[in-house]
Amino acid sequence: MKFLLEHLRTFTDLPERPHDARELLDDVGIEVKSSATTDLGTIFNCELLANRGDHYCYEGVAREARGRTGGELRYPPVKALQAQRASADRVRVETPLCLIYTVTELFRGDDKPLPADVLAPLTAADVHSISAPVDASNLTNFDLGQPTHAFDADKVDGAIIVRLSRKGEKAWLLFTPEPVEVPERTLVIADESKILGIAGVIGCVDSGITGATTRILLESACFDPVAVRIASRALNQPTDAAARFMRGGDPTLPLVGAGRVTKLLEDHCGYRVGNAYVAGDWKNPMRTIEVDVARTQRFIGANLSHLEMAERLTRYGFTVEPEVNKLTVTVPPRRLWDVQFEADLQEELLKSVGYNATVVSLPRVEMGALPSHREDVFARTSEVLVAEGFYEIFTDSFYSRATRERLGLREGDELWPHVEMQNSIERNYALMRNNTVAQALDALATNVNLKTTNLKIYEWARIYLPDLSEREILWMLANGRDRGPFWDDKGRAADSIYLKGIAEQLRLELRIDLDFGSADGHRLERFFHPGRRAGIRLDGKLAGIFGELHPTLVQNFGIKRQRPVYLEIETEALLAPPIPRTYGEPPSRQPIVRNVAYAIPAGVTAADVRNALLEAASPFLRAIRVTDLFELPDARAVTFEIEYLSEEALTGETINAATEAMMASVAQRFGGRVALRA
Amino acid sequence: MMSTNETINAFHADLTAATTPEQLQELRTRYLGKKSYVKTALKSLGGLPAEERPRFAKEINDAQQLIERELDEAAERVAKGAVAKQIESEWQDLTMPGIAQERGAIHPLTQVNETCMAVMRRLGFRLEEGPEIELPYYNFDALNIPENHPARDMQDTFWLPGNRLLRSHTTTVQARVLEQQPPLPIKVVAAGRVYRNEAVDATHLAMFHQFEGIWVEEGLTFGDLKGTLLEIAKSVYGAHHEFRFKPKYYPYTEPSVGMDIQCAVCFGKDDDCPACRGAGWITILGSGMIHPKVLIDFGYDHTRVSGIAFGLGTARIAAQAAGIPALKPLYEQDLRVHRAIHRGGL
Repeated sequence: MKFLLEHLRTFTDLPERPHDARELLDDVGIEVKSSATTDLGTIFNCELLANRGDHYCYEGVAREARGRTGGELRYPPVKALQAQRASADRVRVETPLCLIYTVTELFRGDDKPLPADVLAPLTAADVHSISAPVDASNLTNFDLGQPTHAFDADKVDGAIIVRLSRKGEKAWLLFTPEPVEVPERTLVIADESKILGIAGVIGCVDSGITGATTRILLESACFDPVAVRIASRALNQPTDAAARFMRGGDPTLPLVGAGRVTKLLEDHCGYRVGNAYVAGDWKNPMRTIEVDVARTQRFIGANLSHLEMAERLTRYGFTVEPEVNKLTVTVPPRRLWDVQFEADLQEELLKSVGYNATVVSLPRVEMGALPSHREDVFARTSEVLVAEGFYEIFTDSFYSRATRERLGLREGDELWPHVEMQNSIERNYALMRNNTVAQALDALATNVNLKTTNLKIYEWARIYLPDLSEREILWMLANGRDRGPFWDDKGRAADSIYLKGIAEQLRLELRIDLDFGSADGHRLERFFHPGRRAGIRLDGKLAGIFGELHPTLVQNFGIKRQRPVYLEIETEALLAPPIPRTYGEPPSRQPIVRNVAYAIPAGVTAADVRNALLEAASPFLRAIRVTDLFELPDARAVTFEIEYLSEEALTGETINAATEAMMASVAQRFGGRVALRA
Repeated sequence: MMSTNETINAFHADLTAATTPEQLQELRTRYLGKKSYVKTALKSLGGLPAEERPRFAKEINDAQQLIERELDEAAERVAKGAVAKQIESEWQDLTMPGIAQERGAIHPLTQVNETCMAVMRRLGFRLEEGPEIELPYYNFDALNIPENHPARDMQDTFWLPGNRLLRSHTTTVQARVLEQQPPLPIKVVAAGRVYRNEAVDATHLAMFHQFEGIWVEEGLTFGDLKGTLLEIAKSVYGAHHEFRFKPKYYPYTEPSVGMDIQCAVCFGKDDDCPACRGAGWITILGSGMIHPKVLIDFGYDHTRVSGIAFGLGTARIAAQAAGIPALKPLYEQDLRVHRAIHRGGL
């Protein structure tokens, strides 16, 4: 809301320099977001607290400043109206959602507008002048925070009735093209035949004043905040009046507001006032709150006496009965909406003293805390990946329906059902992701389009399942070369084997018993190249998948000539309890090594051959490693390095016999299919 | 058989021709090995007349020592020459770029989280996780935001089927912790993604990150709140900055407090400063004492137990630390952006 500083000064004294005035307002909770110097004077654009309807006017802001300064609070001139209780044929309030309702009769004067200097607060707030009654109403709302509304008396059929709307009732709201149906049980102002306005929100076309209006019925009332809020939202009418009422109005203010409008129109526009009527059953509950003086002194960190506390609270309009140990504070009607606890009054005292003027302390801390296992696992996993050149990214948790299509999913597929957003304002937020492959490929496409083809990225992410549960995963994508490329080292393709290496590094770093095998049954299986994918298992349970993404899927994302690989593992698997460390002292002797090479045909894996070798392992076998792979026309030549190690001296004959036994095991298992190579 | 002098002469001729360690080794075998003149002559000593043996033995020993000494000297000379030759041939152009796997990087948001967590751990806080798909109760009602409360307008919410929503703040985790009523003191941090149903532009994101904490204990004061906030802010931003507190409104705290850092661009001296728009200050976190109603609803005696709550926009801190003018680049997938964030200036 925009405030004209010079007008604000008419309500209370403020520092002379605009900068100092701004700092004061900031310090009492009226946050000045920007300041502008104009022909009208200095204009502060303020962000007001969402729970303080009373701040939405000059008087409210001035009162807040006065809470700090202790200065005088001045009011604009108001006509003292003598309202009489309305008879049922004039005004009827049929619901307690209207706290108080007043109507003041005004007779049209000359057609002079309000003077420019009077209109300055509206001009400063970019509110255009419409007509004298509307301008006076707006000014009153700006000055005192009391919305008012003018009906053309000749368009009102009988009594004014404040009631709930009935099913199917329509109203033609001001500034709208046609009548709309009003939701049932909306708080409305009506006459005997039609709706005149939505209470606290907006008036209607067929009861509004025009140039031909000669007699005005000026409404000034206070409505239930929730009722106004429901109506404002249901009809999509976020008006100034609604903003004021939905934060809680002041039930003692309607006649004052009507008096201010009357005064402006009488003084400047020749209007005459007629009768004023009041209806509604609101009674001031006279809410009192006890403030424990010692507890409050300790809490706010300022040694205010009970009398000083009382004096400061009266600046905000509270009535206080001070005693040495406690204050009995009566809440003014305008604050019934937000002041209910001792803490609310402590806040007022803190604002009065200044948040920056009280003591700073820090409670004694017995002991710090160590990172949890989860935090430790996240940090160590990230370190493995970062050392390998991966960048952490964050992708959206949702995507569009079109993305689901690009994933090649069809109704009936396991991954087709998604958690669907009910009210997203952008189509890209339509579905909560149930996988992260889409975002990984979108990220790759973005980078490939920018000529960044060597890419290593990862994300700690959640996926969202149709039963509204969430699953935490770690995913990574690599594309291009596994390292570099450097000027004398172009690296090798970042392929599935590379990702397997990453998973093996994680196994070592986290000391978890990850195993690799078939990916059959994994929910992402379909997204991978059938011949270049594998599952990651923990304790026999499928916990992840890795491999090359399916070429068709990659093409669906507009990516050409790239072979991205992707790995996903459930966070829960990474968080598995680490295998305890055990130490075995290495033998002092040097290891003895033998190499055997096999031509392995399609359908047999290197692991199959290795397992066959292991079946005949001697007690002093230390390790079997794959040290070379050579592609033959009809098979793969794989070299295994067999390492022996023992504290005892091993003869060549012993080693050779052990090796031959292992080779015999391979021959027995595979016959001639797996041939020993010279 | 050659005489000793002839053998030495032959050795010198051979030694002059030898230029490699292998040739020297061959000479060592030839002139000092089992079949060498020296060894053969020593074996023949027993066949000589007694009066000739001392002289001849000395002659052979002298010859052996000479050969050994000259071979050792030659070996050293050849080795030095070989190293010199190797060095001369192995010059490397070290102006070429270095070769090593380039490190990647954790995300700036994670870095900020870790920095904040390091501070919070010193104060005894632990990290708690919570769901992102939430019940309205934990996102609103449990936090003193009943249905139709204006504060619900402050957070345009993504609604999901089954009367669920995407959490609009990580305060939901605090509500879940308080609901369990763990023993006091409660010191918990929650961090993670939150969601707002807004159109994405330079300053608005539909998804971003928060970092929040609560400290519930008997007798915590407003001064304790300020002290805790200062401890966090100075650790994250540096102790040399100026900070200030100001009244704010959050439904689940009372009093509510905003914390500002002095504008590092104008230091409050430029009314037209683009960074702070003349305010001289930039808000960095929201906080307050946990609202009495929240404490009551979770079964605490609000006259005895009080709580500190605070929340930081990690994205904003990360952007400020990286010198990024807006939050959106933090959520970009363009690797060039990430490299610029992490390696900028290097």
